[in-house]
Amino acid sequence: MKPLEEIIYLSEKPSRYMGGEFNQVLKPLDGDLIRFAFAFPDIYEVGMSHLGLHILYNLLNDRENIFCERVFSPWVDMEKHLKDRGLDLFTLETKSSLRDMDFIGFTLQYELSYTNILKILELSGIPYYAEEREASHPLVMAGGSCGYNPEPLALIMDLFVIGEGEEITLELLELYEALDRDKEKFLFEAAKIPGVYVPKFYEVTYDRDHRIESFRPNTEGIPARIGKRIVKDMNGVYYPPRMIVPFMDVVHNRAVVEIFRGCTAGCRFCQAGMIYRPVREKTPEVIKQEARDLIDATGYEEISLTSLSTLDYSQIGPLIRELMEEHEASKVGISLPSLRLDSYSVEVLKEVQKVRKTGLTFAVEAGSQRLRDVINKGVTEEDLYTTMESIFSLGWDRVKLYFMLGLPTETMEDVKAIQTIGSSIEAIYRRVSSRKRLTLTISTSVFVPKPHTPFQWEAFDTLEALKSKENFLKDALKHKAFKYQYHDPKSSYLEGVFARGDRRLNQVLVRAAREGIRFDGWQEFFDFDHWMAVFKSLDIDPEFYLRRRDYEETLPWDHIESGVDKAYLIKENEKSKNGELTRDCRRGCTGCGVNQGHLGEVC
Amino acid sequence: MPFLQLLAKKEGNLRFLSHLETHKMLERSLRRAGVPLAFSQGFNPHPNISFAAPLPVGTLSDYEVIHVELAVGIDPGELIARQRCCFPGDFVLLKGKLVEKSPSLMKEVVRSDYRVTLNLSCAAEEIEDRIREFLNQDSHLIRKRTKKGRINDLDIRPQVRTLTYDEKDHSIFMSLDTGSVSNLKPLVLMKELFDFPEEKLDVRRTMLYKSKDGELIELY
Ligand code: SF4
Repeated sequence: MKPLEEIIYLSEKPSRYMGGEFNQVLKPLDGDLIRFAFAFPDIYEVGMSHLGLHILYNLLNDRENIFCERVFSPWVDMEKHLKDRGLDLFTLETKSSLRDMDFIGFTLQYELSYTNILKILELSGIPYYAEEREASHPLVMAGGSCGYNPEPLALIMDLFVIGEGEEITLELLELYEALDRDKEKFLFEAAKIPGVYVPKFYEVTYDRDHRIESFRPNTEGIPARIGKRIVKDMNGVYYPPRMIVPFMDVVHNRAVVEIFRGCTAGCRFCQAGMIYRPVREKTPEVIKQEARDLIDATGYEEISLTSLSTLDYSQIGPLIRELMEEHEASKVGISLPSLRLDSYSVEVLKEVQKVRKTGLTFAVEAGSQRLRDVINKGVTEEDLYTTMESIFSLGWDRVKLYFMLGLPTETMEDVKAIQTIGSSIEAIYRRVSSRKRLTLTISTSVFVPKPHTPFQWEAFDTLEALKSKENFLKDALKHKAFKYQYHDPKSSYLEGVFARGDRRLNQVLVRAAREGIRFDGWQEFFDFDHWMAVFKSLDIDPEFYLRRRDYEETLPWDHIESGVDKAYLIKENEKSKNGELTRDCRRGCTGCGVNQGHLGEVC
Repeated sequence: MPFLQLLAKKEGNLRFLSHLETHKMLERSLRRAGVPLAFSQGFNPHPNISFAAPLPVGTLSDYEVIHVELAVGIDPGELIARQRCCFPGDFVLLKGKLVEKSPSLMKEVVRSDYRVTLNLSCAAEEIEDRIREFLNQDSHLIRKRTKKGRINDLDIRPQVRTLTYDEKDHSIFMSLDTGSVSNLKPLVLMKELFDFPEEKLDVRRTMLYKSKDGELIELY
């Protein structure tokens, strides 16, 4: 074995690092290729379950002059092997160092992966700060939903892509080639492309309380605001006809077909629901063709129809029926990532159940009707109970319900209502089912106010309050039919700090990385006290980022445009205070503004 | 229903796959190739695929024997001819044939040959001395933990049928008992003989045998 093979062999799970999976792309390494590393700042199992990776990987590799390889965070055993032997972190395809790349493209899916980004750079011998890197170093860029507030990484990244990456990534690589790969010139020209943010061309000043005083370009010709990019025609957009098939069991191991983008429900806490607007569907014909191609090319035994809210697809019933018919003989199942609480969902479930029984999860989000109205979650108790009744009579015994704790205006009454829902469902089960096998999982996560949502000004709940709410539910849900899953509020606290953070947090990340902090998304490594010490040593107060903000305050992400007007977000925030609902905009536009301005007529 | 019997090689990085991963890889390759697999009944239908003597992680193989239950018969030669469409590059089908029903493959295997290439320097005499010393013993006991967690003494000397050093390519050839009656893994023997780090050894299975009328014959 070669030195790298030896450490792959010695690692806990060699298939995380070996590459060579079916549908992996290899190209002869000659000087002409633009080399791009798609970097996912978490382990292989998580990264390979991310649809964006498969799209971008194939999109780039379908171009003759581009070679895209993959790199993931090495697990701690591999990190140690690399360090002990003085080896660089490597790409899966050709086992190259990231220093040999022209670009490293990070995907930002959750804030707690930021230290992993720094660790990947460190293990590749690449300086953390953009200004410390030289022309021989790769350009480091990032995209993904967290990029809608790029500031906590603004001194680390050379460039951010805001919005959907299919078109813009190719434009950027073409520009790089056209400018003879001159990185300085490239950054300046790239900064003028809509959807590209190059932080070094922007200057930020703060007032005495650390609030942002001004934020503006520092160079002539650089736009003051950066609008997101979207793909207008989902039927024409590139979709990979193949996907890499991991050898190991990853989180989502199946063929994935994206059936639409965007969501019209308008839940006020939900960042995805705002930033991915407007809704754009693929036709059933396109979806069926993509599913067929992927099944042929991967050999998967399951097709997942993905989107933010799959059952809202306008022709979901016929689509599922036709897919089931087509794939029944080869025993390929259809899976739906999430379900709505209504009778229609139950109809669809009956179809899917014919081939395979999938687990059922529903997002209820809040326990009381009052609080569900505050967050604009259009679900009533009646919807919930009739749906449960139908699925129990259809033979299901295992259900999981999602809730959030710490939502704006939440009181103990709202938390108690979660318990009431649990008991009522248990009673329904006893009434309609003679089986005695109910497992009702109640899962609570912690609400984190996110940029570009109507709740972007809200405060993060206190750690004490969150703890006591969890403790209450721990006690209240002690019944053999219930399983209570909850989330450590401390990691949500840190997520909240970075979600609405500013540029001053770059130094916090760098200090944390230097002190060996990484894998914050993993309970076994998350060290809250260590983080607090890092903040303290830099004299930065994390609470500053969790506080409630005024509508007038300049927010760190105000220069990034999601297409949804700030005025609309304010209106929604005001409506939430009175528990006023806003209808699903499939049933009539509610004026969010995404169809105005640079995105054009999209709804 | 007919069974497809395959003989395959496992090369390169595929050696790092666990048995379960290899199994899944083969299932998906066969699906991609459009081979009509037979499925079990029930909500989670799965195909019937079995390997003779599953390989440990890290081992290369010239000799993987596999049975696959089919819904209808196919032409194995045709599958072999177009295998590159559907199998990972380092998994190569060498031969295939249809057999009537599957005897339990695992039960049939009695012996395996391995070649262990040494990626470290060690004097030839030293290796040969050590081998001679081992072979000259009447018995060689090792401690082995049973499935139930008890510790037993096991005599591995009779399980080693051949053991030679080949100076030309700095490798050790061994023929070892394999199967449910008597089983010895190559790395267990290597550990008894030498204190070489595992990652410096390239282990390759070169043959599997079954016994027929008291004689050893190739498994496939
Ligand atoms: S512009 Fe109107 S229809 Fe379009 S996403 Fe916004 S609210 Fe919905």
